[in-house]
Formats: sequence, C-alpha cells, structure tokens
Amino acid sequence: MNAWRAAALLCVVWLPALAAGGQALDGATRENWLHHGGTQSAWRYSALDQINAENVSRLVPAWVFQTGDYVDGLQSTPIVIDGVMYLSTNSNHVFALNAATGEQLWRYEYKGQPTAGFWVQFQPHNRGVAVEAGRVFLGTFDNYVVALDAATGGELWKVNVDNTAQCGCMIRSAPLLADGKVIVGVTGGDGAFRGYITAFDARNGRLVWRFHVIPGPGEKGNETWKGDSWKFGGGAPWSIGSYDPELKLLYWGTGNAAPDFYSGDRVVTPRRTDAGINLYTASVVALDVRTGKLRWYHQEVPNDVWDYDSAYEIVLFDAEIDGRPRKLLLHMNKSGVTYVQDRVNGKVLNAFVVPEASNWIGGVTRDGKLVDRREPAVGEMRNFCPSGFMGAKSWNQMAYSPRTRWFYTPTLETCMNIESMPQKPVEGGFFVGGTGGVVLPPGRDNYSHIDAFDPLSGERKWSYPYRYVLLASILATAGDLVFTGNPEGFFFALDARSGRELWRFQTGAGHRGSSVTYAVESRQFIATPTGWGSIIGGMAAGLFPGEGEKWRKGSAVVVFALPEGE
Amino acid sequence: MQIFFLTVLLAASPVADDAALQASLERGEQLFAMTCATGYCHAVGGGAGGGGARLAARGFTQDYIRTVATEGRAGTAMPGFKDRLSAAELDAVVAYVATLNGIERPDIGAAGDAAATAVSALSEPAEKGRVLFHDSLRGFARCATCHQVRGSGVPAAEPITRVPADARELHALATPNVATVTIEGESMPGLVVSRGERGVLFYDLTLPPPVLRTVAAGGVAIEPGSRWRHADVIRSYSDAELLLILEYLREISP
Ligand code: HEC
Repeated sequence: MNAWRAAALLCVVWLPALAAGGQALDGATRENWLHHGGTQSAWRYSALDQINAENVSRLVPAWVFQTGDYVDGLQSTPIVIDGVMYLSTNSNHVFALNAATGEQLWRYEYKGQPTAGFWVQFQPHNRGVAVEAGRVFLGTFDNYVVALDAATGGELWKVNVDNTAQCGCMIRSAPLLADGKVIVGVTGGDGAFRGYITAFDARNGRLVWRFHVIPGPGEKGNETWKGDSWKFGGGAPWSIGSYDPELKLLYWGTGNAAPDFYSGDRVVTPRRTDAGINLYTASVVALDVRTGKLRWYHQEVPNDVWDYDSAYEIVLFDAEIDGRPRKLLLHMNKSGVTYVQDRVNGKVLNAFVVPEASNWIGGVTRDGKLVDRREPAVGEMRNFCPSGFMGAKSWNQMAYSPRTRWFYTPTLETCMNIESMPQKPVEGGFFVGGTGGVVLPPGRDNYSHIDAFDPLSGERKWSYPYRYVLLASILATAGDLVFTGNPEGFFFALDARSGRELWRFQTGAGHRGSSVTYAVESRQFIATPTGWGSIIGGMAAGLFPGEGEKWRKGSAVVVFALPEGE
Repeated sequence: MQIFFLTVLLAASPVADDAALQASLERGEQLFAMTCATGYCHAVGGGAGGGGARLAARGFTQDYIRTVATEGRAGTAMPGFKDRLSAAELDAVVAYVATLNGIERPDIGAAGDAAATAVSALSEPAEKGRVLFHDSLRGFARCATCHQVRGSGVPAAEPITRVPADARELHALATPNVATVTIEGESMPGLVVSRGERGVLFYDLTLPPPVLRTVAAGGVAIEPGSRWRHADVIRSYSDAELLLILEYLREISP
C-alpha cells in the first residue's frame, strides 16, 4: 500500500459544528458502503476523495462481474463491508464477491414459491440486501425476509410477511437495518391492498412490530376514509426509509391512495383538498423505532388522484436556519414537490417544485401547501405533468454532499394523460380507478436532467440536460464528483460544483441501479450495476420509438479505479 | 364434490361446449384485468390509453396473441408470461384477447378444465370460511399465517388432513409435533421440519408468524412436548367463525 495514498484517501469533511446539540449529523460513508443509502441518513455520499475532479478522467475498469441473472436488468445497490461486496439480483440471487477483484466467494439462489399466477402483476425486482453483524438480509418476491450467514451464504432464518397468492404485493426494496431490527415495506399500493411496514428482530426473525399506513377502525386517522375504503386503500411503503439513531426515529415515505385516479369512493368530503385526507397515504411518517408507533406525519399529497406516491427515500441532514442549528430532512415525491422539514417535529420549513413540466398545481407555498390543484375527471382524458407512473424522479435515489450542501437529483420531464373511472376492489387485484398513458411534454429537446439544488433556498445551482430519461441513482463523493449512468449505457462523472461532464465510460448496458464507492487496502473503487429493464424502463423506451429499442439489458457490476500504482 | 363433478363432465366432452367457452372467457377477462390491464401496461378491455399498446380490434390472430403473450416482445416492456401464468391461465387470457379481435369462438385449450375448477363450488358458509381463513385484516392472527390451502397461505404446518368436527375439538387440538427446542440456553416451541448432518430446520413458534430457522445440529437440543397451545393462536376468531372455517376445510378436503 502506498503511504501517500492512504493519507490522501480520507479527507477531513467539514461539518458545521452545531452550537447546541453538539456534532452535526455525519451521513458520509468511508471505506465501507454499509447501508442502502450509504448510511441510514441516505446521503449516497462518500468521504473518499482519492478519485477526484482532477484525476477522474484517468479512471479505468478494475473488474466486471456478470450475474447470469438476466431477468429484467439490474436495479441493485451493492453493499460493501470489509472488502466484501454483497449483491442481489431480480430473481433473488445473492452474491458475495471479493470487492477488490470481483472473485465470487459464495452464491445463494432463493427458491421461492413459483409466482402464483395472476396475483403477481409486476416482474420480480430486487434493489439490494442489508448486511450487519455477519448476517445478510434479503426481501423476496414472494414476501419473505431471509437472513443469510454472511460468511457462507447459508440460510439462518426466513419469515413470511404476507400471503403472495392474496395480497398482490411483494418485497422489492432493500431492507433497512435500525436498532437491531430488519425493517421492510411492501409493494401493492396500485392494487386493493392496505400497506404496512414490518420490523423483525435481526437475530432471530421474530416479529417486533407492524405499522399500518392506513389506521384501522377506532384508530386516529381511520375517519379520513369513506366507509370500508380503508381496507383496500393502498398506501404501500414500497421503498426504503431512513433512521436517526439519536432521536430513535424512523422516517418512511408512504405510497399513493388506491384506487389511484378515482377518489369518489374513498374520500369523506369530496372537493376537500387540504391536509389529512386518506391518512397516512402519500406522506412522510416518523415512527418510534422501538414500537413502530407514529410520532408525527406530514401528508404531501392529500387526496392523491395522480399516483404521486411519496414512497421515495428521505435524506437526513443538519443545517443552520436563521442562526439556529436544525435537524432536517429532505424529501421529494413523484410530483417533484420537494420538502425540507424539521425531523424532530415534522414542521415544514421549505417546499419547492423541481421539474420544469408541472401543470397539476399552480405551485406550492413555502410551508408546503399545494396551490390551484387540477384533478383528473371521469369520462374525460386530461393531461398532467409530471407523470404519476414515472414521476418527476423514479425511485432511484438522489445524493447529498456536505461539501457543497446541495442535493443532486435526476429529474424527469414527462406527462401523463389520465381518465378516472370508478372501480370496485378485488383483494390483491389491480385497483387504479382509471386509465392513462405517459406522454412527452411538447416543445422540449431534453426529457430529463441532473440538478443540483440548495435545499434551504430551493435554488437550482446547475442542471445537466439529457435527451432521454435518467433512471439511475446519483452518487456524490468528497472528490467533488457526481456519478450516474444513462439508458444508452454510459456511466459518467460530473463536477459537483459546476455540473460539467468530466468522464464517461460505455458499460455495454443501460443504467437502472445505484452506484456506490468504497475502498479496499486504500484503493478507492466506484462500482455501478448495469442492465436496463423494468416496466418503467420499457415504458421510457417506448417514448422514443426507433431509439429506445437500443437500450440494452444485461446484469453486471462494472467497477472502476485509478490505474494501479498511480 | 361439485368441482370433481364439473371437471369430469368437461373432460368427457370432445369439444368445449358453450358453458365452458363462456367460463374460460370470463376467467380470461378477469385474468386480463388483473395481469395486463394494469394502467401501467394495457388499458381496461384492451382499449387505448394504457402505457402499452391497444389490443382490441387490431386484427390479431390467436396464434400471434399466443406467441407474444407467451414469449413477450424483445425491446419492449412486454414480458413473456410463460413462467408467470399457468398454461390454462395463458390459454384463457389469449382466448379473451382473441375475442377482442373479432374471433368469436377462440380455441380455449386447457382453459376449459381450469375454468371449471375456478368456478366457485363452495357452499355459502364454506365461502365465508374461506374468506375468514385468509382474512388479511387479522394480520398474523389468521389461519393462513401457518397453513397453506389450495396453494394459498404459508405451509408452516403440514397440510390439514383431519378436520375437527367442531370449534371445541379445534380448541382442544393436540399438537404432537410441536417440540421444545433449545438454542444457546433459550427454549422455544418448535416444529421440526428436518434433522440432518447439515443442521436442524425448524419453525420457531414463539409468536406468529412462525420463523423457519436453520441451526447447526450440534448447537440445538430438541425435547418432545411443549407448552405451546394451538388454541392461543386462533383466538381472534369466534366459535361461530371457526365453524365456518371448518366447513370450508371439510368441503375442500379430498
Ligand atoms: C401460528 C401458527 C398457526 C395458526 C395461526 C393456526 N395454526 Fe393450525 N396448526 C399449527 C401447527 C404448528 C399445527 C401442527 C401441530 C402438530 O402437528 O403437532 C397445526 C395443526 C392444525 C390442525 C390439525 C391438522 C391435522 O391434519 O392434524 C388443524 C385442523 C388446524 N391447525 C386448523 C387451524 C385453523 C382452522 C386455524 C385458524 C383458525 C389455524 N389452524 C391457525 C399452527 C397454526
């Protein structure tokens, strides 16, 4: 190991020392990529700076690992701990790899119940595992949470979350590890389903708690549902949450209310559009990690009739506001409205609209109130931007850098024609209450961009335009770099301060996953999944006839580093 | 019993009669609504408006529909359904989409038999029992948490073969296979699935849902008998509800 390299590897991250409450939250990763979002704060940011804006143009491939599971692309976020990379694929195969060489240490193939006929409407996908204390945790397409021995890949325990033949749900997200618990949400919220988050004891798989996104009879919030509609009202928390160990609070985004586009049978007072309708769908909820009890909530889209779920990742960060240190969170939902909140009490401190094509509201007030909503109607096709299906951003995650104190997000510019229709629910069956299709907004020559935003001012600092749609997560590093990939197969680096492209590499397949960075023996690596796929990926390709067909499938991890000895 | 009767009748007829055609088309329509008309993909009834192509009145032949539905279409979001639907389910959907394209009497293939089995042959109380058995509002307190019936539910316990006569008998159910499993000084009620050289596989029944655990053979002690009571895990049901469930189990038992 070169001594200078070891010294250069870890830069000192400047963090504002908080007057009260001591040290500011440090959500950076270092040699390990421990959690799905890097850390439980979901920054997707690394303090490693061996690879930086000066030398990124010299980046070369170090190794490539083909998973052999070519079902529908690769959406995973690898986890890296002490030189071992843990990777999952769509068919729920898990690999342990030597993170420096790509050599396979073990492989696990989940044997689920064969997908039970028509109840499993979407393809199985998997977005990653969670790893801690010698155990690897996987959520499966047939709703099991499985714990594997990190040394051998052998099964330790598995427990069922729901009956796949009945719920129309599955686990796609990586689990979140917090307070000794494995915590998972489920998909299913575009069906007749009632969403929930479940926590299991990481040691033995025993149930610790379950939080129902939709409160049952007698519970506060149930009165915001008309009649029995709460039973199948959706709200699936299908992505991953974040965790503040100091506050012992878990933050999770919840999905849209079902049926998606028609609310006549689920809202108590038609035409009401203020807060507190169909609770706690399309919200950010803060739960006590020990009990799963609700501490506070903020509903972002009261009476969601556009499929604007709020299920996406939640970034936790600290900053000074008006001279006072504040514990904050940042959250963007499919509508592209982005909120900055006090994460102690949920108070909204700032809200702004990120996408350019946005016609469903006139705007949003600084304290988060939606102004001049336009809603879908029965018997008439209407146009709304952004599209609910794809969102102003897909589930792929943004990044936050404490150096610039900006966040970096892929932003999509698509719209959708929606016609709403009343629909009767059949448990586990589709329950969208209408029909619709994604279309491109007129008069543009780019349909996505990567944006750098200052969360406190809501000001866009730079924007990197792209002709098609960007559906891969962003990675930020202390080398003042921002990495992501595009559907054409290019993995690329931007200058985090200017948005200028500094480097690109053709990996051979489209990008739909989440890149990470880590170090083994002081050598920094950047790893990206490649392999186009998914329903949204196919839908995106369909928007560009004659061009989208070229976006290649596949399933590989491509890993980069500076040339050896440099 | 009714199911058996119907299946035999259909299997015996050389050409699918109107009733079988009708039943498979209804099944196909239901499958289409659940699987294909997701809004994200095709629109209800195969019309325009979904994310994917319109399927009605396109002049498709049944063979073409079958090929695309089975294999998918490369370079698009359309997946092949050959591993996702059973052969009978595929036949039913393909036949339904064929009718949307003006083919009035499509070939229903294996769907004839399947449609017959799908026809609910349950009595009214048994149907109520089926719903209670799977009742999602009870969460982990429902029977399907530990029992699988007709492919639905978690097969922690062995398939139910002896159906208790009444609620009292169900409450008093003996559970001879539930043992006391001790790992690292902690004892728990366990249902042992297998014991081999590679380890012991058992369901930890401490609290629902059961957890399937794998432990090294050396690190575990298993003693017959346990304080675990089946009556404790079915407490969310009233006796009247249990009677309906038992009626359901009786009607579907071979
Ligand atoms: C928490 C798990 C659990 C739940 C919930 C549960 N059971 Fe069981 N059940 C078991 C286990 C374990 C056995 C097997 C015990 C043994 O073999 O010793 C069993 C055995 C049975 C048997 C005996 C089967 C036979 O053929 O011998 C019947 C009948 C039965 N259960 C019915 C029900 C019904 C009805 C419900 C819902 C009202 C229900 N169970 C809920 C765990 C459960």
